Amino acid sequence: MEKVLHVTRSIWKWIKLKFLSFWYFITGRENPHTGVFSAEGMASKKASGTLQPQQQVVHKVIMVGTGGVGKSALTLQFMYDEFVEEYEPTKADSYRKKVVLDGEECSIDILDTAGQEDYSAIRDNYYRSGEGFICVFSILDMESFEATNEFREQILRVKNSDNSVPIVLVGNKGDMREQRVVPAELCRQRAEQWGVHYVETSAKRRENVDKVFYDLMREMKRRKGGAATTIGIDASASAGRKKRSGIKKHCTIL
Amino acid sequence: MSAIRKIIQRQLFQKDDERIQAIVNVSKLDGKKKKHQTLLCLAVTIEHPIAVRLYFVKGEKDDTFKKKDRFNLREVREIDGINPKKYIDSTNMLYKRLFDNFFDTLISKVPKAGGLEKKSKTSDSANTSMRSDNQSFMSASSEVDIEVLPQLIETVLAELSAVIDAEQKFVVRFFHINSELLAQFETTSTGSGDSSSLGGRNMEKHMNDQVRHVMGALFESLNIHLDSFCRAVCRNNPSNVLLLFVIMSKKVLLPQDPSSYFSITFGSLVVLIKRQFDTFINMECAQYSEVRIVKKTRIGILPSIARFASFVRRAESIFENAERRTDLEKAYYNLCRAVCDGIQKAAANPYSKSPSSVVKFENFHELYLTLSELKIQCLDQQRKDAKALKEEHIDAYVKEFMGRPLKEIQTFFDNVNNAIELRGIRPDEISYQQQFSRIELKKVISQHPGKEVKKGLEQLYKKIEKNLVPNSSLLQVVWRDMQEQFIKQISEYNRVISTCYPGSKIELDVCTDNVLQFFSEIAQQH
Repeated sequence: MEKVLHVTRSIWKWIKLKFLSFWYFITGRENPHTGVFSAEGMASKKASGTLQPQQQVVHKVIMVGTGGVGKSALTLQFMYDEFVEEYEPTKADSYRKKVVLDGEECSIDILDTAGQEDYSAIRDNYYRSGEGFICVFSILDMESFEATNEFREQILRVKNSDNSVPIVLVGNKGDMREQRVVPAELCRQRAEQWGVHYVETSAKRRENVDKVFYDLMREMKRRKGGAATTIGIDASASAGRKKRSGIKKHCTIL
Repeated sequence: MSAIRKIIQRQLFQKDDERIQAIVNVSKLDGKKKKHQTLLCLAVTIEHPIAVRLYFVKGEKDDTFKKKDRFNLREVREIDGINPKKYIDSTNMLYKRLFDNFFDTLISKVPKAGGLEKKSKTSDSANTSMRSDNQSFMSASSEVDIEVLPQLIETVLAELSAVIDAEQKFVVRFFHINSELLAQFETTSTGSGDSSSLGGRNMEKHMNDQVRHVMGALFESLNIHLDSFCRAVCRNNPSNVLLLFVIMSKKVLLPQDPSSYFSITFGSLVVLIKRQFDTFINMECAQYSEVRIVKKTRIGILPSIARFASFVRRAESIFENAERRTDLEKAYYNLCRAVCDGIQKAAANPYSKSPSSVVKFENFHELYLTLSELKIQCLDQQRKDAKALKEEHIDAYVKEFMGRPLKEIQTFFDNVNNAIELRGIRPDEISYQQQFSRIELKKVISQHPGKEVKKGLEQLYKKIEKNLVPNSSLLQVVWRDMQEQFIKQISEYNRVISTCYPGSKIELDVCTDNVLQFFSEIAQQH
């Protein structure tokens, strides 16, 4: 009998703990009880560890476009203010940076991707994980401009035809404007047709590089904020998925 | 003093028509406070004939004074140091007392770190206190230190140089040390101008052995004090040693008077600081490379990388354009190597829950990002190395886990390849080997129907998710490689089938298009 009592009590404690940490996760408050409860075992520690690594917002940006248009150059210029002359095709690289966006600190995750991919289906997964896209072409290369349509179509397909996915159309290599092949008018038309911004950049001269990333982040932020207010409960839209995986993780602890 | 002077003037000299010109307090060398003070007064008569006299004046019980001895000025002679040993012994004590006081007040002015570290302060050895505050070691008080410490150093140097120079001048005269010789050296050295002054040999040339001997004995206690001063500065915030180092390095380059004993003191201070600097770096290194894991955990990103980054940031802000960058760069190399050692050790740790390749690529990736952000030119090679290592270990990880969804097929074809490569069997004869017969191949393939392969891939994706830190940005990178390698593998199997089993019409249950379809479906699942 005593044993049963003991077990029920510990189960009750555990459930209480879970509800507490879940509540603190939802409300986004710091859990004041972690310290107190940590003595109760690994489980609580781990749960709080996975649930609140940082409350900071992370914006996931994916660089897309054909090979050699300057996706990595733009990324590196934005990340580290550096321009690398030699060309080396990327497979996939990820970067993270803390930025202050309109007075608010947040992180940007940039996935720099391969321009040439043997099978485009491989892209599906990271397109799915992306929240905003920078679609790059070279103003010196008509083909790269034409290819942007395909990239966008794949993004939309993976995102279940959600037309409001934040995308910026970027014409790079603006430092060689006198040799341009893609007329500016055409670029603007395409952007208008997509309902997105068009920005002309030079990764080499760091022209408009920040603008591209910050504009996109603003749009992503607006989108995330908008989703939350329409539903009413804060951040439940974006947290919905995390919640599910969070609960899943709890189960594996058991 | 002026009050006493007035009193004495009124009490003792007024009636003799004398006026005090100068008055000094005389005390014994052993520093014991006497009940009544003794004063030495220089007095001049007011009326002609003018006479100048020296008086010893002693204080009495009831605050009155009494003249003791009287000397006429012409009786006063300059006397020389006859017995240096006696002088050294007593003066030595005087200086010891002086420095005790001076350094005590100085050390009390060294900025203390915030409340947390008070506990560790009570423990005497600097070592323990440094180990006890793990993360916050470079935080709070650093800005205060940057303001206060240089002032403290300036005070130390200014006071010491004044005291030492005055003493040296006195010693040279008092003991009749050949000053012409010194003067000669002085002019040549100042003529040639700049630095290069610190080397011990140089100094010996410039400074008379006798002076060195006497001065060295007089300031015997100074080194201990300087050492404890350095320790005090570094105790609360070990990284302060960087600040000391930079300040002193700048001063080393200023022109020095090599004939002054002060340059020797200065030199030993520089050496002390360099030693502290080295100790500090070694200790940091030890912390980076030391990985203590007591229970089974997913290791994730090691804290040493962030710590290294904050070290570099602080060091850079302190060093800025300082001259002794080579020392700092050497320290950077060592620290960076220690971080890498730590990563390797953590990866090999038996308590690690994640595969060692994951620990490595996650941490090398973080190190690469950190170094890219810091942009320390001399660490560029390390940055490239970190990137290469990251890629290498992603590859290793992909190779290790990719085969899982097609486990039996993989083993089968591995054996086929071995047979061809190692045993020299011709590809078209493979199917005649019993264990590689068409029936065996069919059997193996039938174990992996499309549905199972898809399930295997889904599990693989979850496995990667679990292996990496939560929300890892590398997940997409690793998965992309995984997909690419998997497809490559499929077409490789198809190639082997077509060369080893020509015309057999045996096919894998899944083709590239199937797999791509699976990938798209997996993408849609989350």
